[in-house]
Amino acid sequence: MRASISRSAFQATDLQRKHREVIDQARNSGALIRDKDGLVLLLQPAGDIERDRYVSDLMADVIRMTAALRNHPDQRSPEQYGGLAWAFALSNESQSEFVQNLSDQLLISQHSGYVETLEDLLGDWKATAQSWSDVELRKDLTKELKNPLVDVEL
Amino acid sequence: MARSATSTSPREPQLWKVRPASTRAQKEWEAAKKSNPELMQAERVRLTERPLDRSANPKRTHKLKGELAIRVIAGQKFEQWQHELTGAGRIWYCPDKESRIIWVTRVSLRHPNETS
Repeated sequence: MRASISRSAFQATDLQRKHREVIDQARNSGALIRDKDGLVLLLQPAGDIERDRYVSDLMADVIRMTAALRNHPDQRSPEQYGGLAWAFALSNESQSEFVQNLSDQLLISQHSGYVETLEDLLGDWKATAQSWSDVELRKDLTKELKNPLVDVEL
Repeated sequence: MARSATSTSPREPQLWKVRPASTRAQKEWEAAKKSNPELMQAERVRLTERPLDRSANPKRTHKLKGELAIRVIAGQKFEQWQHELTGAGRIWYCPDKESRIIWVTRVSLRHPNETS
């Protein structure tokens, strides 16, 4: 679950006087520290911040890509997709499916705090885009195989 | 209590059979095996024991999406998966979860087009 930030702020001098208490609160729910000029700082696990940035950066890319998808396909470019430029290689239909999948999973990950499923989803779509971008491979991976070798074991 | 040496665990994994879904896939598998026998032996073991395991890090096993998500083999629809054998090599396969057969559809030691 996303950690809620404690409302009460420590003083900057508490970093020395009550360092264990500050660190414990930072580890548990995030610690607010008020500097001498009144600026309030947040101390929390770096992993939480990195995860939140990762999710928010992807959300920004989803907004960019969603806006780009409103344009006619001829008027789109990979640059408009931001960090999701690789998805430009997908078919128009798959691009829409991808951005919907990603939006749904981002909401789940933002709420749960877990990004493993999100990373799996991105990896799956990236692999799909790679295979799809190879025209010969794409043709092969979409055709029906009518005569599998049922008696052969590899 | 110690388990009897002759008893079999109810959780013992059931292995998958690995079969080519086409003569092309068979030829590609054999060519890859000739080119890199250790790699293909390791892949055969992976496909036999844990073809749907996505826990390896870095993540190299993917369930394809969109128009590549489903493959029809002899009239039956299966999910289509891809595993990165090496930086350049890929194998595509479809698990028949009922019969526990892995249908290998393509093997390539050449990288598909980069899209990064």
